[in-house]
Amino acid sequence: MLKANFKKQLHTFELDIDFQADLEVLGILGPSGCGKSMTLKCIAGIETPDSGYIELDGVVLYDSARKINLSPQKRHVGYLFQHYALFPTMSVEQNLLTGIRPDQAKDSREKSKQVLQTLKLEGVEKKKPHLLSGGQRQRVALGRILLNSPHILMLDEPLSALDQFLKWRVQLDLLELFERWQKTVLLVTHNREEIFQLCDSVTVLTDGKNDAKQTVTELFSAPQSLSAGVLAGYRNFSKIEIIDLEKGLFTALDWGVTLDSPKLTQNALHCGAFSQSLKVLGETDQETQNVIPVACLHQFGKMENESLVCSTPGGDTGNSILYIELHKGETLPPGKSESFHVSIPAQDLIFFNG
Amino acid sequence: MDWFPLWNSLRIAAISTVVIFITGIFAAWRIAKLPRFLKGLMDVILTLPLVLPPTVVGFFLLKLFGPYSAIGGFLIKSANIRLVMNWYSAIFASVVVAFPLMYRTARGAFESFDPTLRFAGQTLGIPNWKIFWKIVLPTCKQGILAGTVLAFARALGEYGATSMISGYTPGRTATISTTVYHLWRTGDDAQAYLWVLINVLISFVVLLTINYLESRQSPNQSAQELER
Amino acid sequence: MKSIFALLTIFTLILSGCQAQPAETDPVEDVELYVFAAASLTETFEEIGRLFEAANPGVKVIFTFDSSGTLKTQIEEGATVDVFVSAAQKQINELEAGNAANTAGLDFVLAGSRVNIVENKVTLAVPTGNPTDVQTFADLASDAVSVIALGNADVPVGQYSEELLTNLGIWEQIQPKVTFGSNVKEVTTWVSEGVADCGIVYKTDAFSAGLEVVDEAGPDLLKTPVVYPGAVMKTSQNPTVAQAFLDFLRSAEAQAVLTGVGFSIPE
Repeated sequence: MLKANFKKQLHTFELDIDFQADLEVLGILGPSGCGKSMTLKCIAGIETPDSGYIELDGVVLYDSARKINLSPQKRHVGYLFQHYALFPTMSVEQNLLTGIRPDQAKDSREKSKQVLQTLKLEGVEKKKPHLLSGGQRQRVALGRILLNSPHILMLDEPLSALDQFLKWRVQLDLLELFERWQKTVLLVTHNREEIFQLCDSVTVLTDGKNDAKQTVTELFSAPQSLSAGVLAGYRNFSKIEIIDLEKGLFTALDWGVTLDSPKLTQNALHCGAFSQSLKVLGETDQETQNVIPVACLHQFGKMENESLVCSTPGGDTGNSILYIELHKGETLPPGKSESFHVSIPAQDLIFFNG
Repeated sequence: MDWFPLWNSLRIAAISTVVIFITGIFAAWRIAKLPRFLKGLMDVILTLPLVLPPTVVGFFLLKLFGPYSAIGGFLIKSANIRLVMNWYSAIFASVVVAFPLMYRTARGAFESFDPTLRFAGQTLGIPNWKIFWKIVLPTCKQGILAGTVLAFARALGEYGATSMISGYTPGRTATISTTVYHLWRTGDDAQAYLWVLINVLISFVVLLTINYLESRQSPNQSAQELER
Repeated sequence: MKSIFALLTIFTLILSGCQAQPAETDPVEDVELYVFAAASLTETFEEIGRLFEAANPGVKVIFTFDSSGTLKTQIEEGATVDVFVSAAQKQINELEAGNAANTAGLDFVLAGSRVNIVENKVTLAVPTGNPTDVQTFADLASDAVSVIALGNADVPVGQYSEELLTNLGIWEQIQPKVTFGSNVKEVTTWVSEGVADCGIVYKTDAFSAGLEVVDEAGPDLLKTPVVYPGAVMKTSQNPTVAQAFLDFLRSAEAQAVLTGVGFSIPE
């Protein structure tokens, strides 16, 4: 179990971390520069917070009150760096062997052989890192960490350095690894897909402060803030004014329409919807609830990925614009600047108190 | 022909290079980790011998190690050891003037060293000294070798400070460079050119050796460079 | 802005009006006089130069100080020079047509201008406190002395040192103890820093380096007096002014400066 509760003043903001993770894959989701990597570095001991407390499996790694600050060597954290940090002058085999701690040096050759097998790295033992593919390098880095028997596994944007077509394969590998791993995993990323595919729970990090931990489903269905919503993939937002709370009636000010939803809360200030939640209404559609008249401004994408950018009665800038992702088989309105209607199912609307 | 200058220059350059290698790398590594202002300040101080005329450097060395100095005077009184006007006095001169070359080259190499490699080593539990020996130095090998060659060449060719602190006594403190200068000034051009030729030959051999040693390693790149 | 400009213009006009003043000697247009002189004459000649310029408005004396050997080579190579004052007869001998020492057939000395300017004594200098108690040139041979600083064969005082020590019969003997400097400054530094037990330098060098002098070479040890000759160079663009400078060097005013640092005036 990892307990992390610390603060660190960075250039433009203060990092204020507070979460716990236990036997789960916890994702830290945040935009670039939000302090995600710094969080991992503080837990690993590579950087030192200004104040706070970090504990791993009952061992105090850092405690500013009691002036405890264990060196990284003593913390037993497995840190997978974004670019893997393989030692360039050593072969794969030698890199792996550096992972084995002196007190576990027995059968080191055997252990490294096993890892080579499990990670499908046979045949490249003698090669130097610059001769390996990106995926291979990541596996070597992981192997090195596993041989180190860390108490927690921390991955810094594990998929960002890989080519697109490798990602899904690596994702599968990582999932397998997590299943076998059986200990806590921290995964830091700006990519919601990685959160979706790999994590059990997630905490959103914006402007240095992290939101309360949620399950991944909770994040996507009920993000706690606008910025969390953006990170979760919501693109349509509007300021709202409640008309009738009991009936769930409200005006979406930016969109210029009145909508209703049972999920409306008393303190709600904004509403939001996924681009995929918006349904394009054909001429024959009878839908009456939550209909928004729109005019298409741009159309882009091809085949399965067509998207529309539309203006609403509220305007054609900022939050007044709606992003619509078309579903397979959905009818396309002919031509640009054509006016048509979309509808949002009431349960697909989410609300923010901020 | 008096071969003393050859053997004297070689031993002085060799010893100086070893001293510079150790101190240069140590200083470069420590200073690369300092905050920016201190780093710049140390850079200026340690590079100073490069911009001063060697004779001036020699003069300062005399002030530092001569019989009237605290260090020099003490050693003469207590152990009858005279630090100046000996063959080994030239080692001080060579070390001081050639140190900046090793220092700056090594600093450059350490600056471009990818810090995540060090972090990785630390999280894996590798002690810091071992990280330095087994990871940092081999990765920075090229820069360090280059610095060593430069330092050796400078030490071998050192004249101004050496002349001041060792003097020129044929057969006792003469080096190739002070001999060349002396011969040239007194009109013995032929002998002077002969020594210049010997000097060039030595440098040639050293350079070839270093190049050979360098080429035996496959190209080393930092982890980040690999991604490009 | 305009008023400042006007003020400046008026100011400049007034200044330029003030210039034309009768000179004490024949009015000379701006003359740059190039004087090459031995390094040991630096301080004294710079002061003499200032005195000369004060007495001869319009003349600017530009000095080049270096070892006499280097200067002679530069003159040979065609440097712009009006007056040459050497630290030994040798260099001017080599530049004088008809001189026995002039094996290269050079002809740079303006006939009739050659004159002896000063005489220097060759002295034995010691560091403060004279730790090895050196008193005479002969003491150099004693075991108490372990480091002797001399100028090398290219430095005039070095040549004189060799001459006098050979005459004393100890030149070969002291070789292992000698450190040769390539210029006088090196030698005086070795002595002043106590690095050498003693050194042989000119009286003027000892004076300017603040060194204690224990012995002086007399005519019994040094057959060749250390005389500094000066001459106008044939290639001079201003022979009249050059000659005037040479004459000035022999004036009472200049000689006072020279003797003040240890030079003697030759007959």
